[in-house]
Amino acid sequence: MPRDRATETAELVSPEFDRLFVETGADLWRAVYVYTRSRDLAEEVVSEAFTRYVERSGSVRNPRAWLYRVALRLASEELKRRRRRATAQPGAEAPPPEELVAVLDALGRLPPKQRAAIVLHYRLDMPVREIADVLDISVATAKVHLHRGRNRLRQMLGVEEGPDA
Amino acid sequence: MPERWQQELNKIDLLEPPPSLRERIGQGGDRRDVAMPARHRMATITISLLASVGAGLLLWSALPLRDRSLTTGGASDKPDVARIICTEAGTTVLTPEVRVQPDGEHFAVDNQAGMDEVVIVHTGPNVSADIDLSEATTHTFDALPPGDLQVGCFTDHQLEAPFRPEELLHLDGLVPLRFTDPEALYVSPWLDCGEAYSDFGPFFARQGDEFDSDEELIRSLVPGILPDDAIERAGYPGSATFQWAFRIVRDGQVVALIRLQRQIGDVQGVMLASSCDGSGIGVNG
Repeated sequence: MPRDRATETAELVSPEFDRLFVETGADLWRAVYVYTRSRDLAEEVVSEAFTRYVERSGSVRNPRAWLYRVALRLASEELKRRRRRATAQPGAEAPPPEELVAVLDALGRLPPKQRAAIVLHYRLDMPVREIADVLDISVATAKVHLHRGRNRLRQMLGVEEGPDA
Repeated sequence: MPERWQQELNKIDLLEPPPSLRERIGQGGDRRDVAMPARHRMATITISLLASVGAGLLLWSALPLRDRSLTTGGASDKPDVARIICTEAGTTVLTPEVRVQPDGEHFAVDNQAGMDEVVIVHTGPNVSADIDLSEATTHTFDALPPGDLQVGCFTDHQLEAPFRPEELLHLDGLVPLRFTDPEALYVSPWLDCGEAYSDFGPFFARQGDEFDSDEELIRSLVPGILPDDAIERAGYPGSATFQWAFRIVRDGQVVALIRLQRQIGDVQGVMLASSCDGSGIGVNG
């Protein structure tokens, strides 16, 4: 059922929404940023996902999974659109902090779903079943993505313990 | 104790979301016409370059760094999409010789056997790519040079072990496929000095500086470029790469590669680049 603007605004200022944003917003933005390597696109997509959530929050059973699913799909569609139009300039972004270059470069060389699965599982502690739900894949496929992504990151970033371990 | 890759992954927490994120929710300004299909189908590629290229990958994740002249002639009536069929019996290439298109090398896969991906390995430079069939059955690669390829359909299980291109070439079931470039569309973004190169940059322009062209910006920021050096866009002319990848040619040899970035906040331009040792490019003083 369509919701009017006043209702949506009320949702936006509700304590429940604030709590969801505080608990989810930053991590969701990071996940989408890693997926897209674009700060602007990550901001656009995350704000759009939250907006859509407000429009239908009454029917969303698992807000976190729903937000990730919508945000990653929006990001995927936008990347596809930009690639089709060949108008994107991959470098037109502020460079990431220096200490992040290695890990972002390594993640960037993983297929998108592997990349997303790794971040969702190892940074956000998302269970495999939820990852499968978010990425719209089977649990078995999610496990394959995690397995292969883990192996590739080991190859690219190393297996030994870090100096500050 | 976490492994190093896990420690590196933890650094993602250092990323700070923009402060305006919360304010943008509900503004409605970013709605886009996205159909939100039940299962999105985004083409997926992985360009896996030889690990020995090392730090160069940091700057050139999509661009190879060692030149091989692979542009070959061919009739223009050749197909311009590589058509591949994956069956239980193996891989069939319907188009053994294909022309490149202005934006790169086009592939279309008929996945009759439920395979997970098509692996593409260049037999010249150490470059490989793959099409994740769970997400797409067509894709255009803008970082694969023309030349002879080996392609094959595989399951994820079959690909657990091999990763590097030279290992992939030993996979059973690969079949040949050639991309020709009769119109010489592709401008090689490979250095002519093999592995004897160094990375340099970035270089930031001063705030307020303005430049009439990308070439002027590059010449202004990167030390060591000689007046007679040619600065050329590199890659496939219809690809996004072509907008930011440049090569510097000296006496017919590619001696430096520049990745150009513009319009970054208040900064006019940024260069990340590689240059052949001894070229003097990117070396201050």
